[in-house]
Amino acid sequence: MQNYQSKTSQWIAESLRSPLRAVFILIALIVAVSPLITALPNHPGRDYVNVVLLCIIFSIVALGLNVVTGLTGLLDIGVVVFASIGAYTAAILYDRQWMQFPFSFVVVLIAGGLHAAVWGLIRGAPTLRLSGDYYAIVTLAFAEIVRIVQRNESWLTGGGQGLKGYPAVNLWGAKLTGGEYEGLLRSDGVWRYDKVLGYDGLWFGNTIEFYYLCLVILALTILAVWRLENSRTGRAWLAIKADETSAMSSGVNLARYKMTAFAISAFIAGVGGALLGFRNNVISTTFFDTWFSVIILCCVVLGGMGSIAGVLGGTFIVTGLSEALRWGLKTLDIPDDSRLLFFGALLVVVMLFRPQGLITRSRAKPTDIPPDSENNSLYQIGGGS
Amino acid sequence: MDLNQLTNQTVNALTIGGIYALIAVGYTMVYGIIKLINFAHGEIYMAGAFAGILLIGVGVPLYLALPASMVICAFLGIMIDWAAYKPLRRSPRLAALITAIGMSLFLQNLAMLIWSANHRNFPDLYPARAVQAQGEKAEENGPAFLDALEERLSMPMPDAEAKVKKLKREEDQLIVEFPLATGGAETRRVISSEANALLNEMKAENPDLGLEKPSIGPSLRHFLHKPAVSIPIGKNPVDIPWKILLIWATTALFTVALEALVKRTRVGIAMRACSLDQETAALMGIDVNRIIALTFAIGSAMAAAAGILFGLYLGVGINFRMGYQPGFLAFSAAVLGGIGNIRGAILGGFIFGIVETISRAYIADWLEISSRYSLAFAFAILILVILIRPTGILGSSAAERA
Repeated sequence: MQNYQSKTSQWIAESLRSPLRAVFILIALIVAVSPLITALPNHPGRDYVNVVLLCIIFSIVALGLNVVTGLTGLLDIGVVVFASIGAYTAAILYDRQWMQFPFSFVVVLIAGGLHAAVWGLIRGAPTLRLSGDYYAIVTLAFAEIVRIVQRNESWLTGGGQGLKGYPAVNLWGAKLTGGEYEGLLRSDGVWRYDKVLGYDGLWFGNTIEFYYLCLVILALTILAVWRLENSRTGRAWLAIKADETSAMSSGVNLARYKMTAFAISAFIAGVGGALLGFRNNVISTTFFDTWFSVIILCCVVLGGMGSIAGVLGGTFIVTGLSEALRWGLKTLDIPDDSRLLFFGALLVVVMLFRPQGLITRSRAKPTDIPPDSENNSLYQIGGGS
Repeated sequence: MDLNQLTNQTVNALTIGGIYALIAVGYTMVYGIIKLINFAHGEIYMAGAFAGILLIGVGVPLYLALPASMVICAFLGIMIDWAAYKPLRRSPRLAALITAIGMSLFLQNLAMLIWSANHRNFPDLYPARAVQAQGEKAEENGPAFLDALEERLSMPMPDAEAKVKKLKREEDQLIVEFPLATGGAETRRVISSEANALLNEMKAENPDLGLEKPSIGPSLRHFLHKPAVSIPIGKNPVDIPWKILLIWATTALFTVALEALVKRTRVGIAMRACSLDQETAALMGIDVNRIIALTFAIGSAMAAAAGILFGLYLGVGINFRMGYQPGFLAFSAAVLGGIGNIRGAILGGFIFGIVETISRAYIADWLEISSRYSLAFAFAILILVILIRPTGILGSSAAERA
């Protein structure tokens, strides 16, 4: 048995040898440090940090989708439902008078996630028996219905124009998002609608504190998903993905574990969606449309379904590419929506040449198996990386 | 209940239903043979509509543009299969499904890059503009104005030959024909500037003219726009134009021909064999890949026809996103009818046409909600069908579920 210290140093030494892991550590360092460098007002790097923030929040949503699509093996083309429900719930709740207490921001995030989880269960319960194409098409149809409702019930959601003029967001006195609003509460107890739109549209008035809050939530999500997939529940999900019938005959309670997956996935996506709403300062059905689901799916598929590292890598590549393309196409005077063309091509090419994604999930690494075990390949599922 | 409205809505439902049926056939054939939801099918419908309006725009008559765009889209369908789906025949179905979504996204945005995001109108079948007098005293002073305009336009102008071919004066309008190849935009500009100049001159003579800028619209003189049948119901008789009859006839012709092809010819037998068991079919000497390509070709040709007929029917709203919604509804129709079953797809298409029209015209009113909810009804029906009877109305109950 090795002690903890030598294990850690061994891990670091190993990481430096493995180029992929070294790249990941480098990216993590950049993500952790970059807002500190660019915190100065009017620093040219603000744009870039804003994109990294988007990558962080998209990673949360993508990790949520990964629970159902990557681990349980059900293709979900409707993750936008949970992201948008989380966003609307959090924003509408946060706008209430009685939600003004120091940690209310955390409460509305969790409320958004829970509301999304409820809809995950509502959508999941009747579709337990479905798999494959029919499950996918139900998720897509459900997403369309939810979008139509959100678009038309404008008394609640702001309709096609979207919910604009977010309240400034504060957490224990730290200003998180919102333009010029200072302090925790205004003396008359009314939320002031700030001048977000006059803020040049760059950083949307988000602060370093918001950035790090999102980073912490991403870290918590990674930890939770990682713990889950190595638990009894995670093994049950992977068994369902591999073969439903054999999973059932091995004693896996399909209904229970699928419902768990639906609820957890929706919760994570809902929290991510709520953060996304606060970041953008506007929620509308033009942002939360079907292509939102497809882009998140693209993130999960490109990196490697089921692997946390894959999902993170895929999200950073896809989102970074998306923003780079948006910028590039704007300078070329081409409508920036056409960047979706590249995502379409990307999905096709990845599926044709590397259907398992760029980074694959390996459940048991060869080093984990005792050297005296002869049949090493028996323990490997998913091909290794 | 207003009988007049009911008749009108029935006509609409049948027309839209026929268009959905033509699209749904492609979904159901492809699903039947390779068990893939071809998400890109809606984009083929869009491509068909674009090919149609571009061909008609350069002067190809409708009866040639329809088959031509069907052939173009058949090739497009084969290309999509060859590039995106064929390499994945032996991989998990999830991979092929994701590829199909990617293909749909790709084609949609390619269309936006090529043809821009603007909505386009179906081109005039009869190359002419109709000028009508507008204003308070249009009835009184209009005819004199149009006469004067006719005189003005018939005078020799610099390269007028290229803009105005023939003038014809009818009771309340002036028909200005133009050479087909010019597309008519230039003609419209000439009419507009001449009419303005004339209006100013006439106003100088008679300040109390009571006329405004005339309306310059597409001429509806083509026989397809004229009423063919008049149903004497309610206050005003309901007119059914020739184009509706054309759409019905085309839908009926194609569906019957397809049914005959699948049921009676050797190719059709080969298709059915492939959809039952590809390996056995291959052992029996059927070139499975060729049959699959043919399936894509036929399905795509049907979608292209639906695209042109839709353009002819509504006359507006042709843009890169037009395929998404009808594609989704047609897929729902295919599932409702029993996926893999051609008759089921046709039946499902008509059911969805009726559902959409009824929910748009009646249910939304009755529940006091926006008529945009009509789509939500269609999607809700799709979900219910998948949950309650995934094999559809006409599907065999022994069919595999997922």
